[in-house]
Amino acid sequence: MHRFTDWFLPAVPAARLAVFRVIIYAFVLIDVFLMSNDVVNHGYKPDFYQPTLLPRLLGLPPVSVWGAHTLQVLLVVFCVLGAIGIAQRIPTVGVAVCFWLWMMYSQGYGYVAHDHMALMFAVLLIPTAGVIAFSDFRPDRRAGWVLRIVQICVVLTYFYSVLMKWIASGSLIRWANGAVFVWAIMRRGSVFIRWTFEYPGLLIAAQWALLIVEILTPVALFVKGRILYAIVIFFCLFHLATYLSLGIHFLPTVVCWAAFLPLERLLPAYRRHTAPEAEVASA
Amino acid sequence: MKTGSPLGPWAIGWRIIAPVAALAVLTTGQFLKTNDYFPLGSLSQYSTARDLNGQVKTAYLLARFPGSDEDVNLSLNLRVVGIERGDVESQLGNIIADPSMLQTIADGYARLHPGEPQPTHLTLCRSITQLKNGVETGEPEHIVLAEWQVR
Repeated sequence: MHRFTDWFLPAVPAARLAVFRVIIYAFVLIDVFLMSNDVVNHGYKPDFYQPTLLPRLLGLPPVSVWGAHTLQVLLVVFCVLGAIGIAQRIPTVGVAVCFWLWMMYSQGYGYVAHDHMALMFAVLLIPTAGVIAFSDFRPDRRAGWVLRIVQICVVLTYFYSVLMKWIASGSLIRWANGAVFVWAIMRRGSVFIRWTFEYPGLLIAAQWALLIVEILTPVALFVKGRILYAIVIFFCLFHLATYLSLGIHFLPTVVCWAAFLPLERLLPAYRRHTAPEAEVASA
Repeated sequence: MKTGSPLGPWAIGWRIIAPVAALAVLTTGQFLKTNDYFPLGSLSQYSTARDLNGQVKTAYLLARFPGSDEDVNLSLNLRVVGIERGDVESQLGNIIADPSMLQTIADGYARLHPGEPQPTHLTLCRSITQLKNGVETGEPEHIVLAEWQVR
C-alpha cells in the first residue's frame, strides 16, 4: 500500500504546483478568449443548446451573452489573483467554478471535444492543495496528488481513446487498416498534408504508429529524467504536426504535459535553494 | 492544512476513492459511447473505423446574396457564422427537421458582419466523396439537406 500511495500521492516540492498553477491559469485565459471562445456566440443561439448531464443536473439554462461576458471577467480576475498567489483560496475555487461553467457552455451546443479533460481536472483540483508559496520547496503530497491526477488524465486522454477505437470500430486492426486519416484529411487537411492522398499505404502505416503510441502512453507515468522529457517533447511535436496538417492543436491537453516536469526549477529561488529534499523529490 | 504537513487517513482516502469513481464514470462513458458525461464522456473523436471503399461526407453552407444568382460558400466557423461545423454536423437531424434553425446562423452572420450585404437564402448541403482503396474517385456528389429563406 505504501508503494502505491508513494506513487499516487508523491511528495513533490510545493512550488512545483505553484508554477503549474501559473501555466494553467495563463492558459485558461488564452482558452477562454482565443480557443473555446464560442460561449459568447452560443449566447446568441439558445435553440442550439443541448446540455450534457452535469448542466442538466444543475438546471443550467442556455448561456446569455451577458452571462458569458460575466464569466470572462470573473475568470480574468480569479486567474490573475490565483496565478500571483493573492488570497489563494477564493480565486482558485473561483477559477474552478467559472471555468467548469464556461466549458459546460462551450461543449453544450452539439459537438463535444475531448481535449479538455486534463485541463478541467487541473483547475478543479488545484484548490485542494491549499495555500502554496513560490518559495516553498518542501515536499508536499497534496501538490503531488494534484499533479499525479493531471498526469493520469493526460495519459487517459490517449490511452482510453484506444479503448474507444476498439468499442466504436469493433476491432483495433479494422481501425488501423481503415481510412480514418484519409477521411480526416479530406475534411480538414491543409496543404501540408494533402499530398498524402497519393499514398494511402503511408496513411495506414501512420494509423498503426499512432495506435501503438497511444497504447504505450501509460509508460509516461512510470519513467523519469530524459526518457520522460523525450516523451513530453514527442507529444508536443506530434500535436504541432496535427495542427499544421489538420488544424487540430489539442493545446488544452498539451499544456497539461507540464505536470510531468520539475517546474520549480524555473524559479530563481530554486537556484538559491540548497535543501536536499527538493533534489529527492524532483522529476 | 499546511504545505508539507502529513496527510491523515481521511485525506488519503478521498484522494484515492474520488479518482476511482471518476475513472468508473469515464470507463462507463466509453462503453456507452456517450458524450453526456463530459468531461468524462466518450473519447470518440476519430475513433470510428472508416472503410477504404466507403464515403467521406462533409456538411457545408451556401448563401445567396441580393443581386446575385450564384450561391457562395460560407465557412462554418465562429468567425464567419458564429458556430463551428462540428456543432452543425452534430445537429443535422434537428436542422433538417426544423430548417428555421438556419435563421440563427443567418443572425450570427449578420452580427459578425454588420454593414455588409446579408444573405437572403441559406442552403445546408453535404458533399459525398467515394473512396476506392483509400483514394478518392471522381467528383464528389452534392445533396441539399435543408434550405431557409432568411427573414
